[in-house]
Amino acid sequence: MNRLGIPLAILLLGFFYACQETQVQALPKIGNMEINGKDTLFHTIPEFSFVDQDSNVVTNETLSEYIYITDFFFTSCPSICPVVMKNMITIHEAFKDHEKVLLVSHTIDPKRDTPTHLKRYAANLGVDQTKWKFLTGDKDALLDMADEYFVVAIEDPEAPGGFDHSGKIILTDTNGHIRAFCEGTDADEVKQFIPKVNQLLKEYE
Amino acid sequence: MNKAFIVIIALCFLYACHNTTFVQGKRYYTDLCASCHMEDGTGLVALIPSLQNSEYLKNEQAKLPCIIRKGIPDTSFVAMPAYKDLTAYEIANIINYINSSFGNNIGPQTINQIEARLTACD
Repeated sequence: MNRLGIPLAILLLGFFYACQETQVQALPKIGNMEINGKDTLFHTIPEFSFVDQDSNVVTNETLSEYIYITDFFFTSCPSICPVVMKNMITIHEAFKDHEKVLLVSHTIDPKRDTPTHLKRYAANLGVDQTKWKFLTGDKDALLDMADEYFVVAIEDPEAPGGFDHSGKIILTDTNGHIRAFCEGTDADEVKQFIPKVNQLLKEYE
Repeated sequence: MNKAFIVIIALCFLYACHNTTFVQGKRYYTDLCASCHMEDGTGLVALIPSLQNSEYLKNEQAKLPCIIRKGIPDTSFVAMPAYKDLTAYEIANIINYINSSFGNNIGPQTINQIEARLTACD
């Protein structure tokens, strides 16, 4: 009885794991949802219009074909930005050859971070600028947009560099729904974030 | 016989200690420098200089105490901030940690050297 019991248990465990692997759960749509009659409305990035490092206008329309990875920063930021930027480069390296993925970094200091300034910054980072947009625009619109991505970004003269903000990195799908995020200052979290981007890409295959 | 054994053990401890010098410097580095130059000293591409196997560090030892105290304000993006409240001892700890880390093998600066260099730039 015992002799049969153990192989049987292993076999059952095998089936159990086999089942689990085929049932990878879809990434959630993050944020408050609204039930409107029969429809469930998920949190969606509202309309925006910013300008990238080449002075091209970027709107929701521009990004609608892409899943994109977002953060908020400013070029003179002395605190968490360099580490977040380093981790964004890791993500950029992983997806720069993927036609459906874009990186979108918003400045929260548009006074200093003009398109020309952002262009030079991007050039110094040595990244593929067709795959990574650096956006600037109206300051209040940028700070409000941070809110929509659940990123804290407020002007604070007491904070290093004049802004207090969190280093979250956000994954948004083609419908403007937020599907995943990670702490951009934490290299381990970023490592676990990359497979989530791949998982979202599978929804478009 | 026993004495020789004790001396060898003592030497081993001494050597072990030698490998973990500049603990204090490492602590300052983590608190003050790592957010830009990174924990591993790699910096950020062309924006923030790498401290790994650095020729600049090797050639410009005399400038380092003043760079830490005065900063480099006129860089185009992230400026090197001035750490004007650090003492000569604290600056020595940081420099000697960096000099012996990240693939650098530069050798320490003495506190006298650092004090003289700081006086020269004040």
